[in-house]
Amino acid sequence: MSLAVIAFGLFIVLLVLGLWAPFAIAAAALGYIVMQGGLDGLRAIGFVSWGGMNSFTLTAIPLFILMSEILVGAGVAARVYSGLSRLVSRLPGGLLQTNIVGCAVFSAISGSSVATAATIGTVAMPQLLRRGYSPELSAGSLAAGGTLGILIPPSIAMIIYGTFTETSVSKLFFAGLLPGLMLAAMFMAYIAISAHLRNPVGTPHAACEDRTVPLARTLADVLPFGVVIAATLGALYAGFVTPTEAAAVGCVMSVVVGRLWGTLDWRSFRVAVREAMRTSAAMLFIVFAAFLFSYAVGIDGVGQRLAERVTAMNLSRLELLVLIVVLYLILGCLVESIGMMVITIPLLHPVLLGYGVDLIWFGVVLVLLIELGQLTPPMGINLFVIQSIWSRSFGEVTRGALPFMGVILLALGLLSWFPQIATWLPEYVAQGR
Amino acid sequence: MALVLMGAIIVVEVLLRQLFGRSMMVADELSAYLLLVTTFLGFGVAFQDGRLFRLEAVLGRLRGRCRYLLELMLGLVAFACAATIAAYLLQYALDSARRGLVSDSALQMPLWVPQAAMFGGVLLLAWVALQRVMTHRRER
Repeated sequence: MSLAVIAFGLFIVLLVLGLWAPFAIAAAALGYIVMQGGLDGLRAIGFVSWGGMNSFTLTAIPLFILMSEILVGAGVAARVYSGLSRLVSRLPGGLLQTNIVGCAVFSAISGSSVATAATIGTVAMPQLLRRGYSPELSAGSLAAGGTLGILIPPSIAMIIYGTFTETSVSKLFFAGLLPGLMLAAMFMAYIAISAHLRNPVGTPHAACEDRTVPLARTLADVLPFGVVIAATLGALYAGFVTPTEAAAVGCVMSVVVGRLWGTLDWRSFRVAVREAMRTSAAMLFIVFAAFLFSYAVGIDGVGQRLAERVTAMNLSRLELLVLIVVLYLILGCLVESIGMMVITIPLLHPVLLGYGVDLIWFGVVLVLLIELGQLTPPMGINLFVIQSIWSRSFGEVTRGALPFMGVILLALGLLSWFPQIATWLPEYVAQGR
Repeated sequence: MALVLMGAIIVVEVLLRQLFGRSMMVADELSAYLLLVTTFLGFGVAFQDGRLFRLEAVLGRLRGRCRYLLELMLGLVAFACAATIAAYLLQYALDSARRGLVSDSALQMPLWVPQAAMFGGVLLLAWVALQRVMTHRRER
């Protein structure tokens, strides 16, 4: 166990000192391998890198990123937000409700929380400021809404989780849908209650001009995302395509929609491809480093020993879950979200198997825990995204996100009491095929 | 370009399967190779572009010589990691070439080809890290 503690400690120290996250994971992994097998142990690097990264499943990551980049580059996201604002901004909370619905809809074409928060945040922020919405509530709704990006399918976090635990990515996508919609509804309920209590300070009603726009135009604005979602996730749910194929089909649909509804041209397409390549390389670098770390954990057998120790403690499943939640809450303060996931899965996987935990259900729980991490200062990535768009204080954004973290914890509780929220849909789809 | 090609291959495979009940049989393999090329050659670009996540809570508080030394140390750690990985990836690709290993598919792809791309990508990453260290020293 001590070698694992040293390796994990090295990772945290390097990260806190300012080493780039994938290098921190790689350095800890290389150190861990050398501590166990000397320099000879490093000969496995080639085999581990090839075995881990030569994966058709991982191909979905750059393609899903490309899909959302094309739509954003074509200006379709702004048009959809505008349409959605006319549909839902009459609810208590006005445009804040649009933030959540906009994030939920964008989540269905984007697998990334950062992309979701950044895209909707950029579109929404000027309108929110102009209309006098509460800065804290606005920032909180956007930071929290953005987290839906990795829960509502497609989800890059789920693709990575599925790759490391060898669980079906399709089933994970199905499992994330209802909890994602539930969480969006819970965010909206919180905003409505908050708006009712503050009324009208910080949550003004929808502007009158919004009500004069014909419904047909509103629907035409929302339609583009509907087409892409229907073509990609619809084909996936119908069993026509795998998640990776759904991503490729989604890219083609994004080009069509971007041309018809947006301003996509050759130049913006090239920019989208370049952005997608860089973003996915940065993300997959973490995954690559994590494969090395996972290998080191595997040859050490620390996961098995941890599983035996936890089993010997005779913890109930609920106690185990509470322990895991506490672990991730602490880690969320220190480690960036995807890094946190890839570092811990190799350790937790044997423990979960030992307890007979449903890995599909746990995948959804893990994504919720990562969402919490994305809102936890000082490493909460979504807080940084919103702060960078808004240029207000980090504390203000953090305070705004705090109540939404409570909502996520409540969702975690519901998911523990009623695991069917996550497990029903994948089972239903499997029976239907 | 590799990213677009990857998407195109997969879409053609879906169309062939759904419309004609046929398959290229190599779409999964080819797109996985293209993923390797895109990803590994993108590591250095992402690093150079400042896309890699780093925590600046400690670094941001330091000034002068302390900051310079810490930046230098972190740059060297990054270079050492990338150089080590690159060296073993080269060894792996050379080993595959020496043994004449090919993929177990209709494509019969010599495995050293995609493995060489992996090596090239990490070598580029090491080069970017080294350049960063050198620039940092010059700026001092």
